[in-house]
Amino acid sequence: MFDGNFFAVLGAALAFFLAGAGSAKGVSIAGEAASGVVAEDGDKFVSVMILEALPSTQGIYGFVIAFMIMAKMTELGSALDVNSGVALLIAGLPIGIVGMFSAIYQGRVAAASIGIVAKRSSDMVKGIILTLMVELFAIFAILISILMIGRVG
Amino acid sequence: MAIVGMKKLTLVGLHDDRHRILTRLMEIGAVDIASAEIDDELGGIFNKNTDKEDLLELSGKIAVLEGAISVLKQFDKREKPIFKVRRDMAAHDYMGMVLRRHEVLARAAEVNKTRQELLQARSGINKNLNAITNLNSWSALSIPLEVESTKNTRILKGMMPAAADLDAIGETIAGSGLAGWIEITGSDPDQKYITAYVHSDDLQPVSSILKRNGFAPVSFQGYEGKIEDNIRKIEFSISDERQKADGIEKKLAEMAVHLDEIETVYDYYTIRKEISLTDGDVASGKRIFFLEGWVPAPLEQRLYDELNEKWTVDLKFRDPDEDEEFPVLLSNGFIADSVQDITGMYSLPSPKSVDPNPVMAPFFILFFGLMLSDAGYGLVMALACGAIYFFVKLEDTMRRFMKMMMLCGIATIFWGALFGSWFGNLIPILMGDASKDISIWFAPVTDPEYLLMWSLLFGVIHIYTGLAMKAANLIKQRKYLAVVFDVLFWYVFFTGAVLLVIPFVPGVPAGLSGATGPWGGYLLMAGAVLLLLTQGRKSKNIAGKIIGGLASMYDLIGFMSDVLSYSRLLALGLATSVIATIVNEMGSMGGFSFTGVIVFILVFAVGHSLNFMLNALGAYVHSSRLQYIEYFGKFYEGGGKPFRPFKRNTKYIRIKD
Repeated sequence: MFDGNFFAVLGAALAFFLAGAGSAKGVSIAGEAASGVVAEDGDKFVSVMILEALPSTQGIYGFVIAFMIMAKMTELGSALDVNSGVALLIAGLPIGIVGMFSAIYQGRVAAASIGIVAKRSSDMVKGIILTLMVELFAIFAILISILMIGRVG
Repeated sequence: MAIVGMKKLTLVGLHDDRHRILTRLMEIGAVDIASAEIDDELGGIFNKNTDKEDLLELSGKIAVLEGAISVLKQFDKREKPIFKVRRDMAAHDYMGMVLRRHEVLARAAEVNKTRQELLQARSGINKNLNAITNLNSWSALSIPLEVESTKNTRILKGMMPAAADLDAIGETIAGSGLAGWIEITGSDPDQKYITAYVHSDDLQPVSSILKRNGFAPVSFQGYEGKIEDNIRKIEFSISDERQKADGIEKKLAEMAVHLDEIETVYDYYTIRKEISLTDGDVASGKRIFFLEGWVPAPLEQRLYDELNEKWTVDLKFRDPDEDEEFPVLLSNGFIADSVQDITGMYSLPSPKSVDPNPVMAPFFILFFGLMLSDAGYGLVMALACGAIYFFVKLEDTMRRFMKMMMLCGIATIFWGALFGSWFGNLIPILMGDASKDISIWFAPVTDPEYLLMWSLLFGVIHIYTGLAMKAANLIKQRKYLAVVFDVLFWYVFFTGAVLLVIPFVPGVPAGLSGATGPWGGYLLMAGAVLLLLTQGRKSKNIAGKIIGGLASMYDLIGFMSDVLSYSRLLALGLATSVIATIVNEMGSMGGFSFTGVIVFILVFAVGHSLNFMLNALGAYVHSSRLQYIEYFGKFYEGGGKPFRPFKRNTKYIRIKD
């Protein structure tokens, strides 16, 4: 049962479920802070919603990589050899692991930035910039995953 | 097109005309009035007074009107537009309303009073509802509430914890030879409601046993008769109060037709407050007054003519001094104007720098398009925002935003068409071959490395443009030598680095990657030497000069990470088209049948809207970030104070003269 297909699918699953779980956690951290602000001042809904949505991108990246691994499997044909399968599994790890951590930590920065908006909504952009700093590493991770998938087969 | 030049205005006028001149200046709305500077020479003649009493009175009236507006808004049944715009109002209608302002103010006060009555009625209802809940807990109590004793017994009423064991307590009382009888007359999950009948002689010991078991007495002071009768009585009064509250609400709903009037008068008083505040910045003497402020240079003549025509005034305009900061007003063309608020959210440019918007606009719009990168989404966005921009009445900020989104939509169509993505692979699916490539240029999903190379190249171009902007700033400030040292040398250095790493970038054509390496090495070395020699030049001693030069080498790492940061163009662009394709795949699982088509339409609508919203938001914030950090970081001199002309800052109406 441990053939190439098994490992490749495992890689796709890891890429998405780690990054997706991280995003869920990150968005929820930011979301709790956001609800607190909206409870005080409903007019700030749009600003805090934008900040809350930022940690969701890691989940999207995981989704994209999972899809690309599966597309690669289709491209390589039904009987994938174990080497290629393991290679695809490993290719899924950067976005899976980095995505998970960066989403959670980005969620924390987003929550702190929501605190900025609570005090001064005019400084929302500064909060967005601070939050996006964390995202860069998830972007590098998806990039590395894409490049790795491209090298398989 | 850029930062508008400003002239410093000094206006001297007669005291009698003062109020009329201020009002006229407000109508023109072209002067940013600064607090007049009274030096020692003028100190004995002029002084500045803020009329605090007047301000206080106006603020009070504004608060009353504001309260009434917030109440009536809840009762205003009219359809509200999606985009809030101020109502247009002809000047004579406005004047008519101003004449009736006292009447309107009285009405606003009445609204606030009625609102208080409503609150009182509602809290009365709540109080009675609570009372009913409490009485219901005692539903099994059959004796009238006011009865607390008979000839020889005392009747105790109170609560005990739900866990209390009444049988055991009863046994304790009986076992001690005391005459007492406990009865449960109601219960809920937390409490038991107890009535105890005790012989007068045994009151003391029995109550202490009860207390030990957590008994807390409850008083029914003010009640008479049985529980059911009391509940019925309260229910009657609740229905009375409800009727009253409904009546008050109806009254407020009727008053809501006056909302427009109250809003107009609100704006009238805020205008007056603004005048009163500005009046405090004016220096007044016995017969004359003077004020100072900034006027956009193009409006100088108009202001001069208009004021001289009507009043005896002396107007002087002068250019700002070399090191004088003047307020910043931006004036840009169709495209550059649209991204103005993106820059504004970061900071306004310093008056001594170059307006970054005209150069930034194409980058912002193209990067947005590249990250959303689906022609279908772009089409929807361009059409929707274009329709709103051209056909819906909007305030200026919203208008600019819609224009920007329309332009971003057009850029998205452009990139989407190049990459062959129209709602993902919708067109190939309709043609019957889902994997057919309809791209004009190439499909990023099949060749992501190629797009990565281009993304990084766009990054290099963007950063180089940022350096060019720095040169433009330095030239405007006449620091010509710095252009060579701080811009040109960096170009040499960075270009060397770029050429050196080209062979390592995936997706670069083989012929190119072999040739650049050696050249890059030479350029990098040359650039490094030049920078080492010049970057420490501001230090006084030789050690500082060397350290300054060495430290500048670190910027190479900064440059490299800036360029890598543009890989987000690929990551976000790919995300959109991949998810769009998955949506189509999921939708077309049902096959080509009646239900299949319905399923497809549903999945298509929901999936694509979701994908569009998430990725449009991503494209917007990431495109902004690339401007703020990578681009502005190279040259931007912010901190400009916005030009805030003295004008009618109204919230609800726009007065048309």
